[in-house]
Amino acid sequence: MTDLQAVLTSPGVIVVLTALVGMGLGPTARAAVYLAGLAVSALVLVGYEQGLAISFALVDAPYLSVDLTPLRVDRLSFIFALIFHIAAALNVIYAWRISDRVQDVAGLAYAGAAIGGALAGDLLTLFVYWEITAIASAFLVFAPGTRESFGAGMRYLVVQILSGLFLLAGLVLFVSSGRGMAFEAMSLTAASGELDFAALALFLAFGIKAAFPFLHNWLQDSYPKASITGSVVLSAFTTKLAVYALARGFPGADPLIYIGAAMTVFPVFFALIENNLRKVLAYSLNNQVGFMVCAVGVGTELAINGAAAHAFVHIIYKALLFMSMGAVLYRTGTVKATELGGLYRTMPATAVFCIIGAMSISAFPLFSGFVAKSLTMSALGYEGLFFVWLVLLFASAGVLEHSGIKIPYFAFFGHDSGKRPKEAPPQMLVAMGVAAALCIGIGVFPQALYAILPYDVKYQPYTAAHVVTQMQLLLFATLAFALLIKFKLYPDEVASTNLDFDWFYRVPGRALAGWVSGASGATFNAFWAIFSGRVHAIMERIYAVHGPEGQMARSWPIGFMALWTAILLGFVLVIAFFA
Amino acid sequence: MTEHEQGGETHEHGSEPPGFFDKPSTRKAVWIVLIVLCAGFALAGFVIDTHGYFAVEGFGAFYAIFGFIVFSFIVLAGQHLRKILMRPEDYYDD
Repeated sequence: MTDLQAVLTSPGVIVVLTALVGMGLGPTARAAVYLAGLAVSALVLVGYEQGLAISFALVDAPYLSVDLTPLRVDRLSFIFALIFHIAAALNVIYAWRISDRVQDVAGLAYAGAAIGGALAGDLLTLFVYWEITAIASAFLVFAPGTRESFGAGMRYLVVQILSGLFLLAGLVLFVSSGRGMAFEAMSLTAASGELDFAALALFLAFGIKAAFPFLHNWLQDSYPKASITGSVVLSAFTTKLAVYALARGFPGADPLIYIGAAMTVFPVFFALIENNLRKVLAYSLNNQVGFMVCAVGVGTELAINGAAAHAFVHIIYKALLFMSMGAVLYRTGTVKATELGGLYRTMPATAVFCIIGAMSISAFPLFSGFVAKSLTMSALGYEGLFFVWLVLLFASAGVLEHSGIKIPYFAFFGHDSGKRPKEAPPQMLVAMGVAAALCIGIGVFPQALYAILPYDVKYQPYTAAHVVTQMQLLLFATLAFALLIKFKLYPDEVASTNLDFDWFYRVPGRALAGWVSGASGATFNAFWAIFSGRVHAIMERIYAVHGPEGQMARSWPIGFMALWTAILLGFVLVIAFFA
Repeated sequence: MTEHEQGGETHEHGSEPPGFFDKPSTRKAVWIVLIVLCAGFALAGFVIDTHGYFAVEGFGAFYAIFGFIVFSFIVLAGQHLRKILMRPEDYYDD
């Protein structure tokens, strides 16, 4: 197989093309073709030798040589590409006959682009896939077709494209400074200690998609407004592709430790007071990505393993949680905590799957979150980062609050809403069941996950101390919850909008934009009035002189002519007389 | 939301027997299990060696106390954010 053939049959290309093929098929055939395409693509991926990289010389001149590496498979890109396949397959099952053609095609093209991005060895290929993820995913936000989702989709698209522009800027700066396009680990500062703007642009591009603090609102804005199946797809790819890009480009970058730690904490409070349970999950997603970003910042082998393992298990349990809330939305038409409660009576299977997702994200022993998060916490311990460790421990209790307890409690237990919906449809139950089985399977057999991590690990999560301390943390936090409910100290849910950083661009920012647009319009009008007034005055004068009523166009009476002729003749006579 | 499909119906309270988790006996059992587990793992912390990477971990019930306090803090302090951040549901005109 030639290099070009290898690239054209690489997983990203296969999955994107499969997505396009599905455009012409009915729902069942489409699902079957999509699962087959994903299986073929996964087999191709597993068949690659580790360390494979296919490069072409894009520019090969004496003064400049730029290589294109559309395909690179190593252990870091492999684990991300693999989990993206699993997430895409889960979604195809979940969405079968529930979503529509546009969403199915966009969803799988989005997954394919994420896979291609993870396997991209150069910045140009990464940029292309980066933009496909942005555009394909926007369809999922637009899908419900409401005014609300249209607004959120537009804001989402602006932010995603902005991230792409930063990536493009970084790429151009890299090439123009003679460093080529290879996507490798880089530093934010040049050897001389100055800030490297090329690296900084990439850092911002990745940071926007990873939803760094103050750059995060696109996530909480759009994911809860996407379609039922859309939010499940969205939860898997964009932020985790960004985590991969950070792990590839900036392992060990100190600012990431503190950015990540901040990300783990602030969403905890927003999630507490949020009424829309899909938005709670969006805040929770932000908090989870914080753990990964923090681990990337630590940058040791154990920490990078922690970030990759966390991304892997997180994609599964977060999809499971979004799927369970999607099932609730599908059956009841709402995911507002104030309108839900008591659904365990008629949706017991969904409730059980949701609880499995909740226990996984809370990192209960024997569930997948535990075996992944332990790596990160241990990496912080080895590096002696006490305060960061304490912050992440704080955030771990926060995860239990909003994802571990609040989501299942307010949807399925708590105050009885009186709603008695049917159990979720079978395809939703199958997808949730597979995801739940993976959560438990990875939790019970962590070595299977550890075997595919970027670095070789000898790590044992199930030590007596680990299990006991983690159970203490979770059980006593649960006890606190039970007591707060018992003594009515837990705040009631309130139907409300809670302000976040996006207020700055949605209210004063929007007013400012409105003012700027009004002011620039008024300025233009004023200048136009002056200009057109001058032109008008000139035209009036020309008209006055040359127009039909003007001096130059006046009609002369015949008598007047005769008089003048007589005067002229008389004048001639006088001259002739004297001459 | 046009895509949701409603099944079942809405019941008034009291028109059916209480659900499993609404029975006082179940609630009592949940409390007992929770307290027994808490007590068990708290004691276990003093039996096994919990020394980890930091000195505080050496104290057998560090995680228990930390979990309890942090969770209570998040809930009790966090709700006051509503005073600053809460707006009507249709606050954003979109």
